[in-house]
Amino acid sequence: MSLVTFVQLIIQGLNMGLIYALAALGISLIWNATSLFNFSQGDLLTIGGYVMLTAFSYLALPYPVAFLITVVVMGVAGYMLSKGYFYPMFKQNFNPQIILIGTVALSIFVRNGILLTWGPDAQTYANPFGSKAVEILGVNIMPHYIWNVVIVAVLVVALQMFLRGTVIGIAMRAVAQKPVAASLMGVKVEQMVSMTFLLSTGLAAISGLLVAPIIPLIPEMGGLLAIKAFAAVLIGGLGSFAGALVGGVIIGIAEVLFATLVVSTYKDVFIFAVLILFLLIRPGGIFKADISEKV
Amino acid sequence: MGKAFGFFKKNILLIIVLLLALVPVAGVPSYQFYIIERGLQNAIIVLSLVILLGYTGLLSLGHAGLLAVGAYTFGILTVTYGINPWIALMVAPVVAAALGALLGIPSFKLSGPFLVVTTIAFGEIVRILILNWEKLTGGPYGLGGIKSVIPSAKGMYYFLLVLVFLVSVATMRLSKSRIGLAFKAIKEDEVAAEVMGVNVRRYKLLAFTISSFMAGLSGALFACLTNYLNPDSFTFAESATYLLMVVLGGMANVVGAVASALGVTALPEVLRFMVRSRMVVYSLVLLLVIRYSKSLNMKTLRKVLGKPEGSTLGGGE
Amino acid sequence: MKKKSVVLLLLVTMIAMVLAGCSGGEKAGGDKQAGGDEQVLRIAHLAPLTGSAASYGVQIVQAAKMAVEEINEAGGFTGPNGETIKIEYTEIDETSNSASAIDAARKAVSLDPHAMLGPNRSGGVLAAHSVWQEAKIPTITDGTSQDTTRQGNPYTFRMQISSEYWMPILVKTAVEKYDVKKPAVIYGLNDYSKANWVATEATMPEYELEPVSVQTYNDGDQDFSAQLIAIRDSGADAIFVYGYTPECGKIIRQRTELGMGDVLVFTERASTDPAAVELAGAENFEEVVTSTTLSPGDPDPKVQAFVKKFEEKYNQTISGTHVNHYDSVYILKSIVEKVGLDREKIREELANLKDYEGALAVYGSDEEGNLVHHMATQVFRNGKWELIMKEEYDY
Repeated sequence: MSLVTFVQLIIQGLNMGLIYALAALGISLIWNATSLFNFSQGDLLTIGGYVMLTAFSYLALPYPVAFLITVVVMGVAGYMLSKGYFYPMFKQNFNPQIILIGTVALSIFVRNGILLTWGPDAQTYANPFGSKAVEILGVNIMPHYIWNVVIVAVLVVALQMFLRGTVIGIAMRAVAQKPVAASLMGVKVEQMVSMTFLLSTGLAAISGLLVAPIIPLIPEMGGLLAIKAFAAVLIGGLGSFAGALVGGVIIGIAEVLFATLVVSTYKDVFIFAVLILFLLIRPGGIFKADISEKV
Repeated sequence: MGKAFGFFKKNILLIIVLLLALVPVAGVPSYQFYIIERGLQNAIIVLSLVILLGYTGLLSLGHAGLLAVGAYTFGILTVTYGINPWIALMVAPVVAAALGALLGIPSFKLSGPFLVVTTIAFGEIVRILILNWEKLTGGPYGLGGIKSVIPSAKGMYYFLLVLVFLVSVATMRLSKSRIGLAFKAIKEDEVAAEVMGVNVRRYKLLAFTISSFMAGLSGALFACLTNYLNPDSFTFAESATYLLMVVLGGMANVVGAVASALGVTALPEVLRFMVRSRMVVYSLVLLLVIRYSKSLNMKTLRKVLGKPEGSTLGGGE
Repeated sequence: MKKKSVVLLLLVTMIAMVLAGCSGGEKAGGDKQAGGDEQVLRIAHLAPLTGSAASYGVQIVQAAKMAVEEINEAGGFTGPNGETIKIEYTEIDETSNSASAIDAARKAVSLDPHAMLGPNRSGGVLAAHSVWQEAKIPTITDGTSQDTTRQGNPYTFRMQISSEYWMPILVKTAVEKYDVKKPAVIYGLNDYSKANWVATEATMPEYELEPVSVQTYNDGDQDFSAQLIAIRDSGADAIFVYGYTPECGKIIRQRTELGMGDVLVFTERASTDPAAVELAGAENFEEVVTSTTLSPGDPDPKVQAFVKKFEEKYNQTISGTHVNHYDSVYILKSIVEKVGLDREKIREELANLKDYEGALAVYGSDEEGNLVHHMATQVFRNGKWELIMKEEYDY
C-alpha cells in the first residue's frame, strides 16, 4: 500500500473516530456523575442530527443559527430527562440495572419516534463546509475533515476550561468525584447531575449534526454508531476524558485499516472481538480513569 | 371472594392456556392465527430471559443471536442434511446452549454495562457470521424450504401451546428449587451468596446455559413457523424487544412473561390498531413502568391486598 | 411485581383476542373460490413502505393506485357476464425485510385477494413465495434475482426483468459507448446485489473484460473508504456499483470525496431512485449510467405521456424502474374482463399473456412467468436522465 493511500485511510479513520469520540465523551460524562451507562447515547446523537435537519434543511435557517438551536434544544431535552426521569430514580435508590434498562427503553423510544416523525427514508443536508475535495500531495481532503477536527478540538478545550475554570464546572466535577462532600459544601447535586446530562446530550447533538452530511440520517443510525461508541469508551477507559478521545480515534482508524488490509465485511466482528478482549483482560480500558482524571 | 380469587391466582396459567386452546376453533383468520403462534414462540425466549434476568439478574441484549443459532441449526440440519425434524428440534437447543455457555464465561468477571455490551457484541458477531457464511447458511439469500415438525396448522398450534405450558411450569418449579434460590441469591448479592457457599461461577454458567437452551428451542420453533430464515430477523432490535417483553411482564413473573410476549407480538395485529406506532407506545409504556415501578409496587400492594410490605407476595412464581 | 394488575391485563387481553378472533370468523378459510357474481376485484399489494426500500416503495404504490383510481373513476369495468367490477386495492407493508415479507404475505392472503402484487425485493419473494403458492393466488412480483421465477411456483409472475438481462446491456454500454477496459465492482452482501454481480461476471468474458478489483460491503455500512481506496489503487476506469438505494447513494458520493470523480460509475435500478440522487448530491451524480426498464428520458411518446401524468398527479420526479405495476393493474383488469374473478383462470391467462401493450412496454409471459423483456441504459446529465440504448429480448 502506498504512503498516500495509507495517509488517506488514516484521515478517513480519524474523521469517523472523532464522531465516535464525541459520543464516547457523552457516555463518560454521565457515567462519572451517576454511574449510569447511557445506552441511548447513539440515538440521542441521531435525533440531534434530525433536529438539525429540520432547522437547517426544512426551515432553511442559516447554519450557525440552526447549529445553536439544535444544541440548545437537545441540551434542554437532556436537562429535562435528568430532572424528570433519571435523577428521581437515582435519588430513590433504584436498582442500577433497572435504570440501565431505562436507557435501553429510551433508546427504543427515540429510535421509533424518529421513524414515526421523520419517516424511514435516508435524509441528509448539504455539507455546509463545501462538497469539493482539495488534493494535497495526492491525498484527498474534504473540507469537513479539517472542520470536524477544528470543531472537536475547540469543544474539547472549551469543555476542559469549563470544567476546570468555572464555578459550575468545578461543582460538576466535585459531584462526580465526591458527591457527599460536594453536597455538604452546598452544591446542589440535582442541578449538577442535570447539567451533566445537558452537556452530554449537547455533545451528542453536535456529533449528530456533524455526521449527517457525511452519513445520511436513518432512524437506525443510532444503533450502528452506538456500538462503536461503546467500544470506543470501553477500550479508551470508561470515565476518562482522554480515554474517550483516544478510544474513538483508535476505533475509527482500526476499522478502516482492518477493512482495507484484511477484509471489509468482517470489520465489525474485528472491532467487537477487540472489545471483548479488552473487557476480559483490561476492563478499565487504556486510560483507567484516575479519580483526578474524571471529567 | 378471597378463596375464589386465590384459586384463580394459583391456576391463572392453566386458565390462560385453556382460553388460548379455543383459538383454533374460534375461527380466527389465518394471519392473526399465525401471529398468535409467533407470540407463543416468543413466550419461550421471554421465559428464558425470566430465568437469566429475572431470577439471576444477568442482563443480555444479545439473545437474538441465540435464537438465530437455534433456528439455523434446525434449518440446516433438516434442509441441508435431511435429518428428521424431531431430532433437529432436540439438537438445536443443545447447540445454542453450548454457545450460550461460552457467553456465560465473561459474566464471571464482568457486570453491569460491561456485561451487557459483551452480549450485544456477541449478538452482532453471530449475525454477521451467519450473513457471511453463505455455504452453510445461505447468507443473505437466506435458508428456505424448512418444514415444520408438525405439518398441520392446528397440530402445530397445540404443540406450541403445550410446549409453552410445560416450559412455564418448569420455570416456576425452577424458581422454587435449590437452583432457583441460588440464582436469586446471586441476583440479590453476589458476594454474600459466595460467602454462604453458593458457587457463583457455576450457577451463572448454569443460568446462561439454561437460558440459551430455551432460546435455541424458541429459535427452532421460529424456523418451523416461518419456513424461511434470514439474518435480518436476528438483529439487536429483536434482542431489545425481548428485553422489553420480559420487563413489561414483570421480569421474574412467568405468567406476566407469557402475557407480555403474546401481547407485544400479537395484540396490535389482532385488535387491528396501533400497528405502525406500536414500538413507540410499548417503549413509552416501558419507560413509565420502570419509572414508577417503585411507587406502584408499594401503593398497589398495600391497597389491594392489605398486607404489609415484606411478606411473600408474588415472589417466586 | 404488581401481580393483580398483570392478571387483570392478561384476562382482558385473552378475552379481547378471542372475541376479535370470533368476529373475524367469516373471513377464515383459504380455498373459497370467488364466485361469478362478485363485484370486486381484490388486489393486495406487498410493497416496502418502511425500511431501506421505502423511498421507492411509495412510488410503486402510487403507480398502482393511479391505475386503480383511473379504472374505478371510469365506473369500473365489465366482466364476462356483463357485471360491473370495481377494484379493491390494499397495500401492505413488507418492510423491505425478507423475514417480515412472510408475515406480510400471510396478512395479504388473509384478505382473500384474487391476485397479489409484490413483494419488491428478491429476498422477500424467495422468502414468501410458498405462502401464495399454498393459497393458490397468482402474484406479480418485483425483484430481479433470476432465482425467483425458478422455484417451480406456477403462481409467481414477475413485472421485472431478471438480472441476467439488466447486466449485459450495462456492460455493453460501458464497452461500446465508454470504452471501459478496467472495470471494478463493489456490491452489497445481499441476494439482490450479489445476483447482479454474478450476472455481470457472466457477461464480461464476452467483451474480454476482467474485473481489476472486487469489493463487498454489508448493508447498513456507512463508510466505504477502504473499498473505494482499494479500487482507486487498482487503477480501475469504471466501477460497477450494486446495492440498495441508501448504499448506492453513499458510495457514489464518497467516490467523489475521495477524488475518484473521473472514474465512471455503472449501476442499476436502486440508483434510478430520486432519493439516491439526493443522497449522493446531484453534482456527484453527473455522468452516472444506470440500466433501467423505464427511462424518464425515453423519447417514446407513450412513455413521456405516462411520466407527465405521474409527475402531475403526485408532484414528484418519477423513478425509473418501480412503476410498472401501473401496467400490472391494467393487465389484471383486461384478464378479468375476459375470464371473470377466478384465480385459476387468472393465473392461466397470465401464464399465456402475449403482446399486451401497456402504457410503459409490451408484455408477454415466458415459461418462467417473467412479463418484462426490454431493457435500457440511461445517463444522468445536467440533472436529468438521458436514454443511451434500448433492447428487446426474445423469449
